Amino acid sequence: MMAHIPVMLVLIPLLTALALPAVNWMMPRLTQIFLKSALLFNLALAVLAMRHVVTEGPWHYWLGNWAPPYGIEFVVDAMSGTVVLVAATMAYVIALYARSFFRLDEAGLQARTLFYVLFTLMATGVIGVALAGDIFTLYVFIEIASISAYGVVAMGGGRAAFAAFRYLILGTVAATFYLLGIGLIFAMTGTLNMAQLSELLPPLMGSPAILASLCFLMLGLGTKTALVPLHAWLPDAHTYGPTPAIAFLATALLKVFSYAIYRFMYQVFGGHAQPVTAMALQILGWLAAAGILYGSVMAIAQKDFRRMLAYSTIAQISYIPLGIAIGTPAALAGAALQVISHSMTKGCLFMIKGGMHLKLHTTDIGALRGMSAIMPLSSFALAISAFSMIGLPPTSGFFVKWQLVRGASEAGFGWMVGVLVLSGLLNAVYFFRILENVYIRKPEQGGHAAESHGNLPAAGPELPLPMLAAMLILVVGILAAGIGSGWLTENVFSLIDLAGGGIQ
Amino acid sequence: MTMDVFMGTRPLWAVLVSILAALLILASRNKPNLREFWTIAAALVKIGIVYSMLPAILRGETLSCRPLVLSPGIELFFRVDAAGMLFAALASALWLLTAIFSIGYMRSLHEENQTGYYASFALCLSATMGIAFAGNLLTFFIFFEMLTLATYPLVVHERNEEALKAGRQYLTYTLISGQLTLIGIVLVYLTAGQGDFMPGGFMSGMADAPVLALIFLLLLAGPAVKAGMMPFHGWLPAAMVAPTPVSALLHAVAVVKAGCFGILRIIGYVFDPKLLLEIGAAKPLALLSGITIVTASLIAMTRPNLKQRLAYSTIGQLSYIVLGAALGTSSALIGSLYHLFAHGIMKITLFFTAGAIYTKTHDLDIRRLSGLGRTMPLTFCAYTFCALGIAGMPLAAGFISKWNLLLGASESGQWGYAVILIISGLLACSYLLPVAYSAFRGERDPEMSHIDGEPNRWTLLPLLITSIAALILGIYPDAFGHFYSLARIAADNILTGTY
Repeated sequence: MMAHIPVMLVLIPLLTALALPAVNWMMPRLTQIFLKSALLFNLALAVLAMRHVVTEGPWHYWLGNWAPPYGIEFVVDAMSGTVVLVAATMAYVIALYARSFFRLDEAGLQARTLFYVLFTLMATGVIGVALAGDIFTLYVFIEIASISAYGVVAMGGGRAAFAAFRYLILGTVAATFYLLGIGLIFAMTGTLNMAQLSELLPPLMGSPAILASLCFLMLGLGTKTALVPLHAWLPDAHTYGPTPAIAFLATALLKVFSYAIYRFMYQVFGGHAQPVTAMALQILGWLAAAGILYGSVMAIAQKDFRRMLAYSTIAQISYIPLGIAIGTPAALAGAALQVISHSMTKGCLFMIKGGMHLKLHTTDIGALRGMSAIMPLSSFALAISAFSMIGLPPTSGFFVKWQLVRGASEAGFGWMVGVLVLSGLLNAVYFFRILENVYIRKPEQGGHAAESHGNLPAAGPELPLPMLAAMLILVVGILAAGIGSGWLTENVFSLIDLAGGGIQ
Repeated sequence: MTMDVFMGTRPLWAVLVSILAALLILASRNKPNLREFWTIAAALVKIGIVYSMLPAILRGETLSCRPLVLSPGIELFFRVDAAGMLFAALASALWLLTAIFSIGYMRSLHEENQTGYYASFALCLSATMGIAFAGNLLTFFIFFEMLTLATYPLVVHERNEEALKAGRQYLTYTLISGQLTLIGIVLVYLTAGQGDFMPGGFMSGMADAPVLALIFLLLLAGPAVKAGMMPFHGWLPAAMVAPTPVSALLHAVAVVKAGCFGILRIIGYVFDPKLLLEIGAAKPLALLSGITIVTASLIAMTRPNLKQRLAYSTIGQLSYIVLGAALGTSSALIGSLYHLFAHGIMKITLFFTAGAIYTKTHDLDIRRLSGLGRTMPLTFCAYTFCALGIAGMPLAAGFISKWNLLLGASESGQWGYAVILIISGLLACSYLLPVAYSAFRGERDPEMSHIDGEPNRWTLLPLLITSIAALILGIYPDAFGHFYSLARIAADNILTGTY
């Protein structure tokens, strides 16, 4: 069994998703146990796969022992292993959170089983994208992840349907661009396997077809990962989708498309060693920097915590393309650390948002006054997450910034250092404004503290235990990833392969 | 000089003990006595740990500890040397006294949110220990930022609009300057390949003079703001809205001193006083601190509130430290390092007296304190003595540092600064002593007629201890913890370039 871990990482969530309705129909009481044990098992496998990468190097797995280009190849290496580990962790933690959340959510989700099916499929897609060793398998998993994402966003009810529709349209256009891109590559080279492409493409890099395919791929993956100016679908989807779904969407799902950009840029198109790709990376860097500043400024302008988080996601996710664009080992380590750091931080923030929604019946920033008295643990989690977003030590966010700033200055991108530093300060503006309300300002008379309607009275326990546990797991993770970032960088991220395409 | 390095986890424990205390304080938030017990216990343990390392440091050795890797090639690195020891010993000793004072102060004023207050206080001290013992720039920066965060809840403790505004101002100044320092640190690692503090610095010859000057300016940004150097001092008087023990902490122990200590570390252990002269940074820095000394003293004279006066006095006094480091001669460095300590003892006494008076009067307008010296003789005697000490009167600890700074100014041939130091002493007399004079000789304000005696003993005891300590140190500068020897060892280290 150990030899088949890469494929099992994909198969377990896939089969779980398919079996879930049947389990729910026959033994409704066991649905949650079944789901959570499957996700936990998958997490354990992800850890084992990562251990294999660290001790024995990258793992190339041929499905059914068919060698590429005929068979499907799965690759676990330092970068994909990190993404898989993050996705598996987030899937489990969010599953832990989701049940109590939906039980208390007033809007009520009618088709809960369908939600879990789509959620698990989304996880399948994310893990599949990370592991895919050829560009068509990658496409298949992108679509598995995206289509289930459209579905879960639509389940938010009300305006979520429109947000999901918009997401669907833009996402499908993006997928079509992607398909066009890989079609052109296949037409030029006759193979879809990444390792073979990296050998066949260099002499063809000047050809218009490859140039066009590079553009199409950038457009497609850029839209999926919400790179400015292709981010239009994100704020609404993040604001109106159901919280647990968004907690996964904003974390694991968005990351994996950035990861795909890394895969293409360095392991297919040759990285900075190819003039054309170097140009594309430069444009990517500019867009990422624009996204960081745009997202941060827009986040400051928001009055609703949900929408603020959405714009903050646009800003924070762009750190990953920025690190990819810089292309030094330190910057790539920063990008990989951001995959971990932002997933946990933003995941935690969305969970807190869900808690606010249940307990305070509002996510309006102005109405969060006195929250620390009603929800002390959530407020604490909010503070730690905010520090990580701003990039204050000892949270993981600081070390992301440190690695990226170090990489950018090594590569001579002084302006990127400025962008990163400015971004941290802009984050401080909007997060300290919230922390002021949560911790310092006193609630106005007759505020939410007096209300007691809903399923969760203001007096009484803060939130159900699983929800608090999920948040606190992530808070501990944020601190551990910060303090352990040196270890991670030395032992894991140092193995990230730039395939000779690092910046000179 | 040989460099003996001992490994050990004591520096790490000195940092961790108050983080643990903060958690215990939060856990026992419903039991005030237990909560205060944790503060006192942690302070005692911290003093024990710090002073246990003192004999080795006095023998000229250093203690190192590298618990984990922060980033490839950069460890979380603690190294206890003479300069760090000086700061850590000062901070840990004053924490105990401030904690005792806080208990008296907070309880007699029935302050709210005391748990958060004590927890933040403990975190501040952890950060301060980290700053004192940091062995490289990244470790230093991590604790420097931690200090910013841990101090913020203390600044906004009063929870009113004024406090919020002060808090925002504090964060704006410190976070922005902190980010500039971060860029500077990255540039140091980029140009020198490493950032471990070395006496006499390691940046010499690593880049052209303009680049070095730029890096120096960036590095200096964070510490200079925390040290309240003009024109970056705006947050400091505003932060006076916080309770008085917090002001005492900000001014004498943690924040402002951490800034000064940071400047000393950068000048003495990253760059070198001689290198600063070569890149043309020493003269402007000395000039800026000279201007700060005089301007701050002049502003202090115009402030009617005692705490505000003390705040501007701090701004002026701390520039002594920067001035000494910028002059860079042996005596100037000794004076600078000793002033870090001497000013701490004296200024904390002044803030303690201000706080003790406030618990009785609920007002710190100096015109209304008139005549109170006769009812509170001990408090005002302590005030008067330390005010004279700040001015640099012999027999007080302040004289020792000022004398050395004067020697340093003459050694370097820059007589102008000797004049500035003397003028500053006279100005200090003129803004601090009238308070004492009117307290003993003036008419009692009718509204203050209800005040019947000394403040309660929890507040009185610490301030008497610190003022007596300031007296003993003025006579035996090496008393209590061989602080003068530590300053001399640190100055030797910097000038000879070895531990």
